Amino acid sequence: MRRASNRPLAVGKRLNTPQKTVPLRVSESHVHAQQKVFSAAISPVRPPRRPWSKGPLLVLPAGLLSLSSTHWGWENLLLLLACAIFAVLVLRPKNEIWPIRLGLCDWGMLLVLVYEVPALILSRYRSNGFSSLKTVCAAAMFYCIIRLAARQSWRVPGLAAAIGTGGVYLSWLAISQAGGEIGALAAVGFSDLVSFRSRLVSAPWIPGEWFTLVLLTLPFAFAVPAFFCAGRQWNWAAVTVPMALVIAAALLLSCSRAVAGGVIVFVLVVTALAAAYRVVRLKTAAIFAAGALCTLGLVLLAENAMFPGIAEAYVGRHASQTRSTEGRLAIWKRSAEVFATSPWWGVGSGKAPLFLASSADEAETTGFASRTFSLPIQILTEKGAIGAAIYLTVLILAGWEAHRKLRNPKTSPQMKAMTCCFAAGVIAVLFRELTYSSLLEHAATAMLFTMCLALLVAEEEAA
Amino acid sequence: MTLARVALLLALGGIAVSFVFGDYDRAESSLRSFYSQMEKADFEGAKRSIDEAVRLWPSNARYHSWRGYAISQNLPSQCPALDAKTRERVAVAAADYRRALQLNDRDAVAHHNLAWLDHLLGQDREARQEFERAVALDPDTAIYHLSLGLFLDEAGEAEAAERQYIAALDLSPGILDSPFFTRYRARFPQRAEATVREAVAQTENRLGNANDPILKARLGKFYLNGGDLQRAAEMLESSARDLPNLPMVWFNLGEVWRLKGNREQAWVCYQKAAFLDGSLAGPPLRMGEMYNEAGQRARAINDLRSATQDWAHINPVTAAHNTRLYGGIRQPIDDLLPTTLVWYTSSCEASEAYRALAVQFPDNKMYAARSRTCEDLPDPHAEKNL
Repeated sequence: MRRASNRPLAVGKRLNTPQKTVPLRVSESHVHAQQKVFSAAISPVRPPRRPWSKGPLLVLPAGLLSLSSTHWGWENLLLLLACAIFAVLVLRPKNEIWPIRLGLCDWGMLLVLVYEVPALILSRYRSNGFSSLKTVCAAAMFYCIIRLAARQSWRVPGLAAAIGTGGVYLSWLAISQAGGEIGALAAVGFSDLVSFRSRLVSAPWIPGEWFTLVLLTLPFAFAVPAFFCAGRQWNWAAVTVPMALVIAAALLLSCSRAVAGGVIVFVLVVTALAAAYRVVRLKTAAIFAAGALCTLGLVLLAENAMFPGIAEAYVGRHASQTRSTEGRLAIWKRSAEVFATSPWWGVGSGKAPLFLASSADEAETTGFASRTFSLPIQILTEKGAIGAAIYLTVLILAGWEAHRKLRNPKTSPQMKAMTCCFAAGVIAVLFRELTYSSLLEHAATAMLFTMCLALLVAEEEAA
Repeated sequence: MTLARVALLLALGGIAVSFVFGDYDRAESSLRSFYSQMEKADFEGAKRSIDEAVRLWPSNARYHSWRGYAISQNLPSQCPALDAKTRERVAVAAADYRRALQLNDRDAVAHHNLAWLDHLLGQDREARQEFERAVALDPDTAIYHLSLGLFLDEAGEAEAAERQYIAALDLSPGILDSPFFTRYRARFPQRAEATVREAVAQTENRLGNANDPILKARLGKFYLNGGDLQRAAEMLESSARDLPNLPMVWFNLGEVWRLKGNREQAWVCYQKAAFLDGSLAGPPLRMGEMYNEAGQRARAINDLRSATQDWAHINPVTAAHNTRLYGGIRQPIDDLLPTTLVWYTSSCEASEAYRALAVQFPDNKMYAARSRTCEDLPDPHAEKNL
């Protein structure tokens, strides 16, 4: 990824004067020196001086780690993330001399944080919103860590491979649990798996949330072979493709049409973006899309052969699915009433269930509404129109930055391919969340989503 | 502005927020201790834990509710005249619930429990408002309707009480097997029959020609209770076909087959019910009885003991709801007052199970003593009702 050598340096722009822009072509060996000279002399962007020394900063992570040593989980998540930020700042290599200026998406993330504070203060029962605030804070901090860490091209596939491997582990866990549960169901005489889809995975979370987490790892797992394909490293691509396949297999086992739809949307959007931004030719994209969909079909058939009844979830119209749809519609109707009570600031993060708890409508047998079952509706209800507009702004800004990156001819094909994967991942998860609301329920899902956004807008720099 | 500086600011902000949340996390740990102590009936320890939680997170309404609940553990389960000391404790518990409702007025459990405490204090006007508020906030929870109905019954408003009983039965026909309804039927047989008739008619009307498996399941239970086994089987089988994941449908279907004399089919249904919900006391009770009849003593004893345990640890639906409403640690304990209310208004398998165990262990005095557990459960408003 040695593209900096060909990058023209716009001196006039750096001077920030009406001076005429003079493109300079500098040799690779002199690029850093040139940068230092220009920066020190004329650039408004600060030279590679560190406003802090490493010594005290090294003490901070150690101190924070000792503070959080009793619990390594949710309790000390923010401390651990703060520690990671310090570590990233202290340990970054010396050749990373250019400070990253805040991009549009970064400003959007800051806006979200700024919004959450008054939103919490203005909400009705604040104690119930602290957990959500912590989740948003953790997601924003993780976003910063990824933005700071993913500065060199090799780090993006490296991070993607790490998350993809985690996704494979989660998928394997889900597949083995589902296998055991299906066996147990069959032993008691139950063969209709669709009705028992919520029992197939007994993960630490609610299965729907678990599958959102697994779906979030799909773009990372897919980005790795995409990176190798774009670099024409076919052997490595072939070795890493099964990661995405295992995750897709686990997702199809969910018996959830929204989750399976998310996988299909991911495949279609990846190919559409790759074709639109000329990462691959249209014909190649079409062949890939057809091949990927056929592979998904084959995976589903194989699963149906192993666990008869899985495919029925996607082709039939089961009574439990009908009830699920009816229940969602009823809850959305209640959500609209809740939104009307507090249209600007919402009822507060994490508080929608308090307001949706029950309905006096005797015609309903939906019962207790534990969530809004739609991320857009959850955000509208809990964060109001203002919050929804801010969250939407982040997505639009991230999309805009991704678009600029994909259109930039200097972006490497590998980076473009991975960007397509992350963009498709974001869209696929949002598609799944149209009928479920799990993204903001856990720090892990929120952090993975913001990681996707951070890698989507990550700049490509010289290695 | 560079990202590194923003990240640094965020990290510092994160540390500051983390120290604020640190107390809250410790409060949640105290809540976890509170739950485990309550499960072990260590009320003094539980009180200390919840006091600590309130100290660490005073704006958490739930902690105030739990403190009120902990204080109420040794209060009478009926509403007799209180001595001065008990009255003082009731007032302290009520103050905690009031504080909880000041912080979060949408907590139906807190309204319900405060209503009971107000009633104990003789403040019936306030109690009525709180009971009604609980029903308004969560009209789909049957036990709130029952509590309000019992309160209205005591106040002499039989008609209004009956409306609440009908609403409760409509939502949860399993109440028909509860000590409450057994006694209601014994005391007021005509009123009880009219209540059931009205609940059945309402459910039949709502079902109409639709195909709602939940309504069919409820109707199946009503028909089973009324002895109409044919229609009960039809409704329950239809419901089980559409939604085979409902444990009570399988249990009730098992009851239908048992009453029809088809033990094999009944066994299959009980097995399915037990598999789907391991916390139900009914399936192990019936399976224990069937093992007993088949001469498999060890298995019978195991299942019967399991039935008593499951019955003792029965939790109201509000426990599951609260876990979802307030997040955090799963709520493993009951949260309603009086402390015997859930047993009083739920299907009671304890007496049958203890009687069967007493037969197996004639020398065990505890089993013999507990063989009238359901019959001995106190009515919340016994004195005036009787």
